[in-house]
Amino acid sequence: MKNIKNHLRQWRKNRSLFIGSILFLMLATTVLLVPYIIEMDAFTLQYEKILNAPSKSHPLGTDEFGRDVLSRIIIGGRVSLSIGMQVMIGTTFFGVLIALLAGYFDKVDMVVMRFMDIMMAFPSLLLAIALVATFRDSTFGVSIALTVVYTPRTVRIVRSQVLVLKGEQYVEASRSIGVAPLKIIFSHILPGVLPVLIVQETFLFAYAILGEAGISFVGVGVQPPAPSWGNILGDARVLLREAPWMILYPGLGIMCTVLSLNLIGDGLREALDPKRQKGKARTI
Amino acid sequence: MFSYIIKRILILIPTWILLGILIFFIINMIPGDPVAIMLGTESAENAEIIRERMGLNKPIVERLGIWIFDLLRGDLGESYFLGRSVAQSILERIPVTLSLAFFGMLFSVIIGIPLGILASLKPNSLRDTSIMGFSLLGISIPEFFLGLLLIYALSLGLNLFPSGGYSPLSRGAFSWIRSLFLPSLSIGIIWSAYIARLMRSSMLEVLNQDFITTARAKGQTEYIVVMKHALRNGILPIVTAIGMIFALLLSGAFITEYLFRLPGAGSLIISSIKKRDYPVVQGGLLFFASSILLVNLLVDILYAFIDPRIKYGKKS
Repeated sequence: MKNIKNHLRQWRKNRSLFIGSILFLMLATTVLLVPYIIEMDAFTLQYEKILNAPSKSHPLGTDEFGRDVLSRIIIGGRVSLSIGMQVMIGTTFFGVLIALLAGYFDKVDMVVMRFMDIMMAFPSLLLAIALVATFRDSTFGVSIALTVVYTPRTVRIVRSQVLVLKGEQYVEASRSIGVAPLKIIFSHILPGVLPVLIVQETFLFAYAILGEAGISFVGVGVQPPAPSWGNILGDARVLLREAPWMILYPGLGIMCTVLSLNLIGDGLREALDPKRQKGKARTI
Repeated sequence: MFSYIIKRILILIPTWILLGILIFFIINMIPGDPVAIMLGTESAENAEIIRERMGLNKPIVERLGIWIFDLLRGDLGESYFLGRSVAQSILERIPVTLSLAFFGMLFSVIIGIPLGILASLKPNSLRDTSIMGFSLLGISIPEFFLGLLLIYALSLGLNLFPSGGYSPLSRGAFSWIRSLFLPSLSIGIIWSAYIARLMRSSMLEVLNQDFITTARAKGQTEYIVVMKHALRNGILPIVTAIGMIFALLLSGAFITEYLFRLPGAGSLIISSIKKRDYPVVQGGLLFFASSILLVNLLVDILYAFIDPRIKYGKKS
């Protein structure tokens, strides 16, 4: 009990982490719970209500097909967040697995890192767009494509940590008493990469949300009628003069989510990894 | 040093061929038939003829061979729909992409470097906190959302700039700059946030070093200490970052190009993917990946010249 109190105090003292996690929890609960409380209809086309300004029955107005913008933003938020979450889980799984094997076994390293270098040479979102095109289900496709293009980043960061740990005395000691390599990797090295990994994956969640938004915005990501914050903005692009309310809220949704994740990442870095410099969370 | 450069260049060749093979397979996994899109509902008989003329009837291994062989001769193939070669259609659009990357970079440096220096001079002050707050916002806002807000305020609201479209330099420098102003500004603000963060932490590191204390102890004015002693060292990481950002902007600004309807190389790939114009997508991806590889190589070499501490080719 005392321990929990202590953690809570530390959490409150870490300003970035505190503000970031509160903001993120607020956003996530809104997106997840509101559809259970208020009835949401993001799909019904109502041609008599095209591009209505915000009103009592439609608090954020309606879009070019008369659909309720608030519902689309909430449901779209679910799509965007779940893609971000899937990409985070996917890159963690594959990134850590590849990094551990490559970092520990030199021969694997040669082959894998050559391949990773090639992947890193691609402009990530353009490659992701080409990959999304190979899937029939666009939402699932976006998750897979972003996982593929972002995994090398996780591999890079985790692998360099594995290389450091591999030289540590305790690892050498377990090797000398004959512990099996896989056991060394998973029970002695894996725990040591966790702090770096957690920070990296928080930022990756943010990238994934920005990435999804970007490719859906240009119309090659999540395909309509499924809403996502990116494709709502993409549709609203040409209606800027007629329906400015359609851009403001999904844009703010993306921005606040990414902001909260960046804050959490900064805070976690401060808490877990004080040596590294603050703030490097932006890629295209 | 010389042998290091040669080695780096030689390694590029197999990397490049692998790149070509990888791109070929990704593109050929895309479902959807370009011939069907081209013909619409016309007869199947014509489809066969066109497929043969495009070389799509050959087995995939043979097509891969042709693609790699043509690549080595510097031939990226013909576009299905544009009626010209892939290389030509990319090259035509390079001026747009380059000018956007250049002005975007210019804005981000002009805004980012001074902000970073200002923040580093009084760490944790109100000034530092607000600059870092701005930077955090800049890192978190999607570039197209910022672009839309800028269009709404400066183009639709105040009518200062066009909301989109490109006017080439040959039609006058003023309208050229005017058409690129908003897109470059939105890219610039976002990347300035990143540069400011980097500049701040780099300056903080330098300002804590002994030679700065010495310079101050000598009675040097604060201006000279910062601008002459600290900045020269603090700017090094920024040079690398600028190279990287420029490489990213060449390919990664496609979202901004799309938003502002600029006919750049990035938006060419988007429209080609939508039309299933495989050769253009293939060629475009290869072109961008190669340019990133080249810029990385140049930055590494340049860095070895700037920073005498780095010795390549020797194991430390």
